[in-house]
Amino acid sequence: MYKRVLYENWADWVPYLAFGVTALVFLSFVVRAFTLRRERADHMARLPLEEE
Amino acid sequence: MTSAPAAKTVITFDDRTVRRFMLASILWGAVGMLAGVFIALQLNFHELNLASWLSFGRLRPLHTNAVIFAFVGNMMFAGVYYSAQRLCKARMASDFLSNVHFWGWQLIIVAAAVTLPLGLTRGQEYAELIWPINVAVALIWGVFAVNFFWTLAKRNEPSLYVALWFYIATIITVAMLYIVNHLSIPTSWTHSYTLFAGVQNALVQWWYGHNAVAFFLTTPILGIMYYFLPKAVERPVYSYRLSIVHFWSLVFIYIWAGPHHLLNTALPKWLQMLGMFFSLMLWAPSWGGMLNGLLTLRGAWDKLRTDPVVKFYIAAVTFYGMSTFEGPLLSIRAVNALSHYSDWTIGHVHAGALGWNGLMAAGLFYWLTPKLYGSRLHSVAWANFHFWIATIGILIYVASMWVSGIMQGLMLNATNAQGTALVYPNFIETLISIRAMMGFRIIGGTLYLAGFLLMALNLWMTMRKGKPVEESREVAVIDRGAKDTMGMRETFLNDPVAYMFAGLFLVLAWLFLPPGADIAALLCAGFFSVIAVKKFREGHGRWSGWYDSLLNNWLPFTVLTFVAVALGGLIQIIPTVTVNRAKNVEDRIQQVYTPLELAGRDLYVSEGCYNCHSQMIRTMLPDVLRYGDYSRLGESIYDHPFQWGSKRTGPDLARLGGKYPHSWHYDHMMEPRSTSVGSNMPSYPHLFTDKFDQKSLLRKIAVMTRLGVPYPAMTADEIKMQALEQAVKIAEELKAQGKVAAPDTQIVALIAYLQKLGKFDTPEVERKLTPHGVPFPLQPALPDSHRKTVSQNP
Repeated sequence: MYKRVLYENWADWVPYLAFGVTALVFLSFVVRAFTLRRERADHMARLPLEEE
Repeated sequence: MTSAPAAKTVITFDDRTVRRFMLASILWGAVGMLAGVFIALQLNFHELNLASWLSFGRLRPLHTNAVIFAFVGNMMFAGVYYSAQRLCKARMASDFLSNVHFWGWQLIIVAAAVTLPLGLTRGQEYAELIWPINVAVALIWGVFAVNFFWTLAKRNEPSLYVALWFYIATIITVAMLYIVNHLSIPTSWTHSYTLFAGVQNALVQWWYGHNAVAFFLTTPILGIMYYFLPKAVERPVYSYRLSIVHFWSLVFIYIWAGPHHLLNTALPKWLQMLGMFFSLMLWAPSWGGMLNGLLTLRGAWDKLRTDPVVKFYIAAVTFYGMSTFEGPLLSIRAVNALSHYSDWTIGHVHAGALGWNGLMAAGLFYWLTPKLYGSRLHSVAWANFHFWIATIGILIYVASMWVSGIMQGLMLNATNAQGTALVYPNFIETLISIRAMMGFRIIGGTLYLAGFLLMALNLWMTMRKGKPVEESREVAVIDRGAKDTMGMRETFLNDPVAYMFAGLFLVLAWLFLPPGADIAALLCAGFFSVIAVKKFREGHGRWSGWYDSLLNNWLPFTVLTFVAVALGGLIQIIPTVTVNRAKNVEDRIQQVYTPLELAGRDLYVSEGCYNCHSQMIRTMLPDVLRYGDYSRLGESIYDHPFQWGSKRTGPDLARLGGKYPHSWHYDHMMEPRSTSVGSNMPSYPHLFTDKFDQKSLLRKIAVMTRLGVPYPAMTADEIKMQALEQAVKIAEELKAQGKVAAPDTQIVALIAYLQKLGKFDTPEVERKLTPHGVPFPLQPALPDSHRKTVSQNP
């Protein structure tokens, strides 16, 4: 197993797979962030400033 | 958001715990920085290695641990306790747990401050503390986690602000990293061997080490930035949407980047590429976060001139941007070939620690103290002066380390035009050339420390003007049934999650299934994507609703964050850690240490030699020319812990064994300048009088055997006799070379270890593959296909 981890071709794919997973998740959150309603975003952004 | 206020209640925040953590941070910060200036002085003036417990190798871990866990740790807790209560509109759930957390953490720091100078260490960077302290850290961190999540559960604000997300990510990720990296088997109350060895240990260590920076020094401080910066400038954060992208992209990407600490080493190349790739991707979210912080000041830039708090915050965020630009840059393999093991890395981490963490801490403390003590800041002028000397101090420090690192790196890597010889073959020559820069570092560090002490005085005067106050606030109690109602079923069994996992599964199937089936999987993935888009269009509101619910439900949010961070670690670590031992390594295999050599190795670890010496010859021509054949994976498979190192203040030692006679090592350890003129290494006279530990050898070898090191069965007497026989032999050889050492002294054990470095067995198959007189190529040369061809046609 060790030698396969070291040398065989499938290991070369892992970075692409990792990138794919991350990109997929990242894009889904980008879409979510930019479809967030303005009033909701404003409300969330103001939370630290609310004194009550 | 659907909650209806049922009633109002007055809550009093627990600000006493905030004050305690703040004061502890200031105290330990001063201690940690003082230790930093002192060890910087030691590098220039070796005479300052005044005693064994005050030597560089023992104090440097004290400095790093004090700054990371004591200074930044306490500062983080102060910020978290203050902001979490306000954002949750609730007092911390348990005063008892807050007390246990505070006092437990301080006891841990005291224990570290006592044990590290005594040479009690695990020998891994930022993970040096011995196992009983590790257990205490895990327990106290658990107390913090329970208190924090309990507070979330009883909060009076339905929404979880982004700062709380960063705190959640910090708590669960640090727990995961810390526990996995500290898995050890004790040999005594003060010593243990890590579960991992060699490359496994290297990978797990830097998965932890890198993410200690990410999730201990970055994400909690970003949470603090997202809460306290808007408070200071009295404006909401520039873009809440950007903060969402910032959080999720950091959490998903950071965890993968650890292998960039091991570029050009024996680490499998795919892991190196993974580390580099993800480090480069970090540029985007880091700069997104920096810009979000800076632009929060929109319309209030005049505060930058008048308000010292804003000055500190903005300078800190700018340093965050600079450090997170430099980090990915250093992760490019070609750049890393120059920068790694050099002062460039030291400059980089101090830009982060002094610039980002230190200035954020100062801004936080200047803002908090008047509020916590009901007074006004004693002197704005002093605070401004602090800002300027701190900034100038950082710039002098970082610039000198850049120059030092790049200069020494270039000198160490310089070869003649043919690439057959080094231009500067003597390591000391390169060390002497950076001495002036090491001097500037002392000036920069001293300026920063002076500013910090001035801040401490300023805050002390501010405290004396007022008295501790506990803020009370009337809040609306929200309907308990309106939040935290999202169960696991609702979290995971829904369209967004189902389609994402289905897509992921099919893409994996496309990669790994045999021809034909892989195309079918790809077609299915495409089909699912089309259905997912269709479903999204039809039920956009439902998908958004799921995400909105997530932000109001801390438990599913925490579980998903944990999945995100665990995924990156698992993909890297499982293939490397689940492998067995020597039987799987077809290249060179490390020779097992004899009992005496093992005792010597423990001394090497205890003295902190890894702080200045690496044991990893990289797959680079200059390294091979200088130190010998590049290091193979199998050459450290029995090293618990691995000692690859991360800095070369002195040369690499991977192939030191047999290079010099025993007498050279004897003289070198007694007075390094007698053999290496210009060296800044400490002298180790105590090694010549102190006895090496014979009693614990039986237990140590038993643990090593349990860890898979192939020791033959030996009784306690046999182990002791074997150690003494080898010691007597070395002592006699020393005597023949004109040196006197008692066989049971530490120097003899250490020499035994140093002479073993680089000794390996070569499997029969490799000898066949390597013709006589032909040097090993620089690329790993034994792919399976090649091996099969050769073994079939010998």
